[in-house]
Amino acid sequence: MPIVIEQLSHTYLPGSALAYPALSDITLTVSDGEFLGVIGHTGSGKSTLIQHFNGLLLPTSGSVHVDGLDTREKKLRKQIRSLVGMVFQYPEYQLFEETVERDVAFGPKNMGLDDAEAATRVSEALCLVGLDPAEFAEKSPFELSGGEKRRAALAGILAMRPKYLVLDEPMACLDPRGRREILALIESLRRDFGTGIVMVSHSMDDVAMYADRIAVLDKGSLYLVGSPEEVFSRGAELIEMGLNLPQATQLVRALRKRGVPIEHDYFRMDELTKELVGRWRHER
Amino acid sequence: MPSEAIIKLVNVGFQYAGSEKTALKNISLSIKKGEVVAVVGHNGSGKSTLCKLFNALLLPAEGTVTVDGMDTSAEANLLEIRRRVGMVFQNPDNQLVTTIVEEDVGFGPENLGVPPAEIRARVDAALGEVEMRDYAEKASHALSGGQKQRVAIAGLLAMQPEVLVLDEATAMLDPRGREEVLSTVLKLNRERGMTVVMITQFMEEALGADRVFVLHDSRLVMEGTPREVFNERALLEESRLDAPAFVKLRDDLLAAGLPVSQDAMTCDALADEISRALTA
Repeated sequence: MPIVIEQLSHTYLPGSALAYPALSDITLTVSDGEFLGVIGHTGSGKSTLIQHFNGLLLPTSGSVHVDGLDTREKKLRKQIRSLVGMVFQYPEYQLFEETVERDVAFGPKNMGLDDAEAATRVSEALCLVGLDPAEFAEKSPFELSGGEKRRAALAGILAMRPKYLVLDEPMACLDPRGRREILALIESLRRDFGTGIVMVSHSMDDVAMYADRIAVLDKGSLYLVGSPEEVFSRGAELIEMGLNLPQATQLVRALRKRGVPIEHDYFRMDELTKELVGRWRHER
Repeated sequence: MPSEAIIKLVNVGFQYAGSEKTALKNISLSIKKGEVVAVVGHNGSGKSTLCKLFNALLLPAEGTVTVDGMDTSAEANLLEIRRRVGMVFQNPDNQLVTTIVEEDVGFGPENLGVPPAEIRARVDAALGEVEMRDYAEKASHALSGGQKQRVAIAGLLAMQPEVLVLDEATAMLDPRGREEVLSTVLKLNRERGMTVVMITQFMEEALGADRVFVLHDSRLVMEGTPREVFNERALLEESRLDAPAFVKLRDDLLAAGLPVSQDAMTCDALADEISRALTA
């Protein structure tokens, strides 16, 4: 069953002089096993939206149901939080235990699992994120490098075996290889376990490469939701709202401006490369 | 061409107290006046440590660091060095110290004992440089990340530095914020001859530099123009880095026989080359 968001509005500090409407009338469904990218300018409401997916924020009006469970029902919240794993920006800032093992075990133990099951989950999660338990389990989280910390924090969420994984800018501040490793991990969770992924990102290239659908937020409203092709064919509108475009799309636009008639709206560099090489061979 | 070295490192080594790992090993480099230099390297490679040596926030354990000929290890030079080399850090929320934009920009020169009338003039000029004059009397917390970073840069400009060091100053910004900050510092370089050192995880940003330094496991493993550095694809890969997407595309097109110039590393440059090749 999916995450169903119906006519969701959220106002911070409602009824006060500082009332700030952050989201208005959002209707959106995240299907099982889907990879949904969420893009939008800073302040467009992305973080506010995803915090509704596990009941950290509750709708001012409208509703959010996770597998049919209403996030407004207080008694369902624990169940909802074990279904939806939330990875915030810079999750490594939230590492707090003395060892990696204890940090990763925190979630499963909190779910009420016994020590043996928690231990299984910990070593499974550490293996998934590429941290060898034999080497890392007993280390202090603070001895790890930046990329390792990020992966340890992610393992803490994966140890709860969430059905949906919601990530806010998971690659920020990582080096290029670290970015690729995290992206490959997220993609493999979807492929191997059918985990539904919701990823907020400023990187249009990453979203273009991995997402099945992309939700575009603008000033608190859902401006558009569609396949990468549908979304990035509307480049002018995205630029207008302060976003940029995948690099392949940028090049298509630059080529058209120079009179090279590329009909298709490419958003992946590998596909555009094929098209250009094909044209070159054809011309010869 | 500028030639005089403003920052010079000779055989520099550094280790954090209580850490077993060496943070920097035997680094020698020099940065010339008026140059734009990018420092790239994997997480933990030593980039931030390196840059903190440039204005004596850290002192070398081995070797020497000089700024405009002044040894950073001599305490008497400290004030002069800090005035000359200004640093912008990663988090836009950690750098503004007052509640109003113009007070923040005036904070540095006030600390230096600059007379009030002169402070006023410097603040106005600095806010003009970063295109934030309209925000002079606004609350600093209400600005966007890119605007905050530009105000932080204005605060440094008001101290009339010779070098701006940006320690991943765009890492937490959205694409538009990144562009604002980047174009601001490149303009300061072009129009004022400001020396710029930028540490970055975005290889595309390094394309705008005159020279690129590559750090890997605490060592300086490569130094050269963006074209030289980004042509060393295997070495970049080994250093956990990557070439910019358009450099990879250029190489793929060259491999397929399309005659595009080796110098084309940006979207516009490649579009020119491809349209020329396809319509020839």
